[in-house]
Amino acid sequence: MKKVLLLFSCLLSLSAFSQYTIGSKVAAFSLKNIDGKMVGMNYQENAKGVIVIFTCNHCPFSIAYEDRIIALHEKYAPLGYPVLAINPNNVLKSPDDSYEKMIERAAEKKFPFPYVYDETQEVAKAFGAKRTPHVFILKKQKTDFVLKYIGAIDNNSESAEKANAKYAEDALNALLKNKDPEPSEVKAIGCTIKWKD
Amino acid sequence: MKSLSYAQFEKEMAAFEGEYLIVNYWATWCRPCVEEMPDFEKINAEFSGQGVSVWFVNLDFNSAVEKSVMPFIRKNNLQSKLFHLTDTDPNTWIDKVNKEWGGNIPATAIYLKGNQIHFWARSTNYDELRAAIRK
Repeated sequence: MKKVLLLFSCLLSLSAFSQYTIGSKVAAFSLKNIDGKMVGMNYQENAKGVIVIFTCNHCPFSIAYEDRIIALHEKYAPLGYPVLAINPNNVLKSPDDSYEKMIERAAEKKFPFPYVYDETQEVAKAFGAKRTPHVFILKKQKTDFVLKYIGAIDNNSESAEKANAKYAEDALNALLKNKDPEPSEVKAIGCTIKWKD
Repeated sequence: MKSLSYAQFEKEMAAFEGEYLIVNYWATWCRPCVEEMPDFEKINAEFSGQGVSVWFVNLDFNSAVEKSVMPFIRKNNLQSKLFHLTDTDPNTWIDKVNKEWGGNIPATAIYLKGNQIHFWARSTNYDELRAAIRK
């Protein structure tokens, strides 16, 4: 009987673990920030939503986007959409992405947003994050956070100046006008997430 | 190494006359990519002349080709065919490689007479590549 119950609950938890898609309600989570405090999507009072960005210390694509991520936060946090940066990488697979190095990086770049550590990688899996950086924009609907945009920040990782399609900003501007982002999904190249074995 | 757009690369793939084409997407800064390259080189060497080819497609920034990619190629004496994609907006071609691909590298696509039979958005190794080409 015990074995049957165990198998059943395993199957249930497996089936519950399909990743979020556009329109999904995202379950609350709380991860350790670089200041030691636990932070979730709701960290800014009166927010209209949140810009979740899976990113890390070592990936050249993440590094190339750091200033643009800071700029997104500075522009959209006052409008109700702050950035929440999440490092999803396993430290054994990627020592440069340790919690201690997160603290250093955030200080160097003076990140104005929380930079939290997804140590178990459960949040990255729930979102279906595949690379760094990977952007998920959520809109608050009553008490739920609903996924509205998945993808890239703009169309040129290498050069902010040459980027002429600002996907994330377009998505946020649409959401601020109570419209749905179009496109709602954009792909980009990035570093693979370092999943633990 | 040939620098070209994805549209041009598609034409190169269409012109491939061999049996198995193994396309590996990589970058010099991508550690798991670099770690698996010897396995691809081994397959390319072992099956050269038997209708199997490995093509490495580099995704370093355009500005990094001279200073990072070329030295890497020389240092590692890469023998497989080399390409570099110049498109700056990969959203235009990622889905063309495979709709399931989230854009993370390394990634490997294997084609049998032009039809994609495998797509791995992850690392691979000699044994898995060997099993895929059934020679």
